[in-house]
Amino acid sequence: MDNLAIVANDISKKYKLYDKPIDRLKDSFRLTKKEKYSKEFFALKNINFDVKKGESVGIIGKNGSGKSTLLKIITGVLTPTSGSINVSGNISAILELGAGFNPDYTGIQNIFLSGTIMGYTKEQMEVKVPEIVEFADIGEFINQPVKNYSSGMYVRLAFAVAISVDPDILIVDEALSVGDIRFQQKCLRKIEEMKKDKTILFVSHDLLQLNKFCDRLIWINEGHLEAVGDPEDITKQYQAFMAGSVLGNYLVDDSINNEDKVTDIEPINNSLQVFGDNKAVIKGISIFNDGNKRILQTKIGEEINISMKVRFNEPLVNPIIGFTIKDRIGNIVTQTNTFILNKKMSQTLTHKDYIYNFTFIVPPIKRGTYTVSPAVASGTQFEHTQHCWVHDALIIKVDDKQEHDLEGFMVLDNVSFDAIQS
Amino acid sequence: MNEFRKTIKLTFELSKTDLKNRYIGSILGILWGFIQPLITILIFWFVFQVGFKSIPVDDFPFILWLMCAMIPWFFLSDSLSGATNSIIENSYLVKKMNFKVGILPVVKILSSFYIHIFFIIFLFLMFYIYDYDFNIYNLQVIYYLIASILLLLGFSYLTSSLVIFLKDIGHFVNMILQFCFWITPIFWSIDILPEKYLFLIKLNPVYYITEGYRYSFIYHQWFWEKPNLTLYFWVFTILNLALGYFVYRKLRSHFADVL
Repeated sequence: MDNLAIVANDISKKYKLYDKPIDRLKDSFRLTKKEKYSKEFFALKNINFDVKKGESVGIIGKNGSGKSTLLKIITGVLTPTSGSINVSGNISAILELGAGFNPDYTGIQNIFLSGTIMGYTKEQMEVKVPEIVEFADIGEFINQPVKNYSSGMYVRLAFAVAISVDPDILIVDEALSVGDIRFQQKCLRKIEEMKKDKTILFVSHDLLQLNKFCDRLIWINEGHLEAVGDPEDITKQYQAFMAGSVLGNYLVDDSINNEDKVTDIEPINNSLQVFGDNKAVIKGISIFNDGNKRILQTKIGEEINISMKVRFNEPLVNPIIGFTIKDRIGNIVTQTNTFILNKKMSQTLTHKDYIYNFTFIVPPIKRGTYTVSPAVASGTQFEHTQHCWVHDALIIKVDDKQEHDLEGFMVLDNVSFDAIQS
Repeated sequence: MNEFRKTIKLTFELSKTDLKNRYIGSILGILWGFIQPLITILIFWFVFQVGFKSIPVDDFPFILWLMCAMIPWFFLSDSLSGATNSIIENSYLVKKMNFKVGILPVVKILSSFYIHIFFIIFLFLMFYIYDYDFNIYNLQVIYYLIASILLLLGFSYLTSSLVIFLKDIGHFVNMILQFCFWITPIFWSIDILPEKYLFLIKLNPVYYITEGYRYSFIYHQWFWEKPNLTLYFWVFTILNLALGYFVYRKLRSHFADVL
């Protein structure tokens, strides 16, 4: 326990879902074990892990997988149904955008309240206040009740308070994603600085961020501990999982020839949103590199090939096949289709799978996660009928060796710079 | 030990902010805490002394006699209704951090206690104005003060824990308080009741407190001169504390799940 900050021992959290609050009350005081007032739901099941002192650990998992519940158990807000948690050192946490602020108090009053609760005297807090106010940087609003804050301001203040109380363990739960990019960067710099001697637990959906900051990642899926380990490995597995495939396929070696590609295209996941009149169906989509290896990650300058398998249920005149690439927050980065590429498509036969390949070089776009949404239509660019359109069918990570995260969509390459002295 | 001292300090700090924030936004602010009870006392005094021309009870000015019971009553009802909602009101502390929830009802009782202290001083002042000298029996008020706080603690833990699961408890507490105000001999004397109903009134633990204040200020009797009533009160209070604490312990781990 000496060099461990957090030890989770077989933690389970069972929620009982009651129809009425009174049932919960009855359940708490029942004497026999027979009566059942509730349905059971495991938010976490048999979670085991430990975090060393000074380690930065990221937690990933899809929505509702139990990340926040786990953090709440670590902070002591929730008690586990079974198992035990050992924490050494004091914790400062930003949970679900909150830090225990009273909505009716002003920012300043809340700073003092948090200080009182953390066991600081008024005088000690008065020393900290200027620093907190400066970090939060929300101007005049610091003297307004926090209920009037925007979510960005709220999280700014919460973060500023959380780091000011000099915790041994800092827990940040997705909160940063609410802040704007400048504040995010500011916080990340601060976290980077704290990493040296503090233990940090970090929940985020930004895999690149996690990769950069964390020594280890914990992946939780539907209450189970799916994997713990090196960030790069875990993000790959996680991405593959989120894209609806398993990593086994990702790692297929280059013995695959072109014919095999036909069968190797990943089928469309059932859970995806599909629109269209069903005259044509996109059966699958995958991205391959120039070695015909299916990939989920690429880098700028690499030649990639987006392959989609389409089945036509009715013959179509002038079909158009295309796709849209969007960034993490839904901005359209680029689009293309066979109409604007001037590829005349022949009449299609029904009940036969067609494979369409788009090959291009990855442009200098900012690193990050992008989605590909394929579509089949017919007509012209200006007037067409959508037959099938799959939202975010494929997730692809674009990486490169950029050292700094700059704003913007694109990366300027080969910039020459001169200084002319006059 | 250090942890315990920290908790005590936190409780006092929070009770101070609670007192300040009760009347946040109003111009008169904390003064309302004193104006409201004063006005109520004046209304009762006016209705009974001036309006109904009630004769002095036991040869004592009615207003003094009334205040002796009314002041502890305000403390009891104010604390209980505040403490009942104390955990719900501060759900942001329960849900977002590891917080000793158990101090929240105590915080509310404490912040009402400050106002109560003012009124006890006010009571001494009124007796002085009416030309009654300080008497050793007056100090007995400290005993009744402690008794009322312990009585309150038991009730507060019970109601503040239950109300989280059953919102109706809040309304129920308010109703009981209303009811209790009328059935407790606060503005009427127990002497007007027929002998056979007396025991019913005495079952009410609030009677022990309100009458106790009168013993201290008016009748000049010690609490041990009423051994049966005192014994009953303490048995009731200790059982009530045990029940309140048991319910709180039992439900504590569910708070964050429900709030």
